[in-house]
Amino acid sequence: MKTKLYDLPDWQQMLQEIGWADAPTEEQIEKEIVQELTRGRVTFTEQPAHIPIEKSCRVTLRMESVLPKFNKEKVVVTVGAGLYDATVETALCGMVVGQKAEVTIKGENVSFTVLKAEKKQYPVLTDAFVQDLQVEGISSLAAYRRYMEQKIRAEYAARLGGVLLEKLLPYAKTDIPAQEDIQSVIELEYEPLRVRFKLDEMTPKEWKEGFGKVELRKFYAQIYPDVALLFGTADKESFFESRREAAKKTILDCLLLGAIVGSDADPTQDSKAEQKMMQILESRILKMIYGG
Amino acid sequence: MAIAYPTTKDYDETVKEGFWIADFYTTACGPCKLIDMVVGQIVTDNPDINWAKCNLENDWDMMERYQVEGTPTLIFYLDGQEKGRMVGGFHTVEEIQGEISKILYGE
Repeated sequence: MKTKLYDLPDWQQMLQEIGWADAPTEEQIEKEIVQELTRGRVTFTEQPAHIPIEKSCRVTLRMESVLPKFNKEKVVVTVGAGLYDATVETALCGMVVGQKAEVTIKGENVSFTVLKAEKKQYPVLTDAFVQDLQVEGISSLAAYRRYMEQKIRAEYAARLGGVLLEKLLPYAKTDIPAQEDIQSVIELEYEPLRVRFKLDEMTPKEWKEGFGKVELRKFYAQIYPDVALLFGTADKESFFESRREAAKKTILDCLLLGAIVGSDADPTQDSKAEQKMMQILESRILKMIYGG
Repeated sequence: MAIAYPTTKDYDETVKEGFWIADFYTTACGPCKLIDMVVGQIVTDNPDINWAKCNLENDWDMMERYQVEGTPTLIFYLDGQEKGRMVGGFHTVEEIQGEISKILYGE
């Protein structure tokens, strides 16, 4: 790679300044474990009338309004689930059974009375719940807890690593990314797509039909991030143009990562260079946060 | 609230009571994975909504029987009656919630 790094501040000190107060706690991790394992197994039990309604409670209401949707003797709503109406669901929080409230929806008065409130109940977790998830190599609750703890912490470390690189870059002394390096990085992204979709053989019309809709990019990004890059482009030239800024960022991030983790992985030669170095940084961040 | 994995043998029995999202998919289908995430979120937030996960690779007869022309296809049932369907993987949580809301609560 032609682009060079000349100086970088102390990354550990920078990370200390950023801090990790929002690192996932054991409680948050356990909450996510419970949510994953108990999907499909949650029940509701009626709560005492005086207990205030919270998000996720299931409530039975009597609704009165000129609006047909809000004029019902009995309607059952899960608070905060986003199915019924945000205004009503927000108003329900803190109410108790027997209480009445009024809100305005579409300019009309809607009044409702809470007839019943039920609280969500989670079952006791068992190994069978874990086995139903069919996570490879994991069949016990203890193993699943370890797996999820590792996964959630690693995801956090990856996000924190990204923040660290952003904070470091303004203080780093580097070359402006060389055109040759930018071109090479984009070529490495383009080549597998070219082969897979026979992009050289596509007519402009075919390309547009296949990849013209930029709004599809966000959907594909969740499962096929490489393919997502094609959406919104019209041809090879526009693909390269669309990737220019990202390639510059990749080059600069790799310079920083290389210095931090002591690696000479080169993004102009290896499309996985950034990923590999990022993984090393993540493990170092995890050590700083959690020790060990 | 339940998650079930029906085939033609027990499909009608599965969806006969309550609100069900029948989710027809194949394991190789990319957009099906998107819908899986979206429906998973909806079912987690709404324990009264049940999820019938119908892997066509386990029973291809379901395609003809339930007129599924492609994957993913979602069919919404209320007490055994089909109330709506959505085809394709590019639907947001809000879009699917909107369909469910219309069925359960009206417009």
